[in-house]
Amino acid sequence: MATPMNIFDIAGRAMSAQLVRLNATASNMANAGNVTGAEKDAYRAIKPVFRSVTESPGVSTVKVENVVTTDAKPVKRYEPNHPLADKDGNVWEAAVDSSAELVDMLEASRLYQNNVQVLQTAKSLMLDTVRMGK
Amino acid sequence: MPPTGKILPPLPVARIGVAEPFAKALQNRQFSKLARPLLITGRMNPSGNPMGRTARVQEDLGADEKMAWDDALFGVHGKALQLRSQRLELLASNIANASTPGYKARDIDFEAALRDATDRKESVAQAMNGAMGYRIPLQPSLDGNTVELSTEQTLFAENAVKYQTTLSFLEGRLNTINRALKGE
Repeated sequence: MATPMNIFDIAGRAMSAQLVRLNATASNMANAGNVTGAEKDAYRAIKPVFRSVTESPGVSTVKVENVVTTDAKPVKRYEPNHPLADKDGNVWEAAVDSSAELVDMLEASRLYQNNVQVLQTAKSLMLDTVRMGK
Repeated sequence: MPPTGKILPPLPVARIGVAEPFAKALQNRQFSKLARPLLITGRMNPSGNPMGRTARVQEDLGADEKMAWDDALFGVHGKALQLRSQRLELLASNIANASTPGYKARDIDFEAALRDATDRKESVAQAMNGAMGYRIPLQPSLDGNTVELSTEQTLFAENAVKYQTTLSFLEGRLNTINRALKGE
């Protein structure tokens, strides 16, 4: 990085990371309850992995290292009348814990708000500094 | 200097014989400086993590050198503003990493940092490093993250207000100088 990291980078990147998390939660919620006829085709919840990026001691932001699929097992349900049921009459429901996803969504949105607040405070302080002596 | 037309003598060439006393004096000076006792200060982080040890070795300043750092125009406030701004970044880093597993929240002892920056005339970065430590969490979480948002946000708000206070002190100084310059 050419220019040293400043407070706007720190909070801005954290906001991007939380947004990725929010998108992952939205994808999981959208697929919750989906059923498929084979276990391998069933949807599995996706989660972003956060890692902190440190430039100098104490100055660090966060980035999304990768997005992983959880190893939760899709739920097998016996429903012979279902159009997608396999030859044994089973369907597989997406491996999404919707209450955990909702909690995740709340946390992500709160942390996003926190970073917006940090950005607003930093912005007003910087503007005050620029206007100093006028 | 007006040109005189006179050919100037060649510049003296440094010879070993001439330079030696000076080098020796320099050596002696360095030696006496090194011979002074070293003051080692460090702060351990509570978990005993080797990364957390921020030890530093600094030269104990002699009484004659320990004059108060004074900036005629801004006094202590110039350095204070720089430190406040750095601390703002530090606390913003903590808030940004509130959900990163294993992240350890940090903070500085502001009073110690300001003392180092003014009395010891250390650079702001040095003073920051010297006064930095890890936050002890009130309730440690399972993922190893020690950020507690209530603490961080309170300190961030406090730091922002104090930044503004320092800024208004600086503004007062500037106004004084401006008034003196304009002669109102």
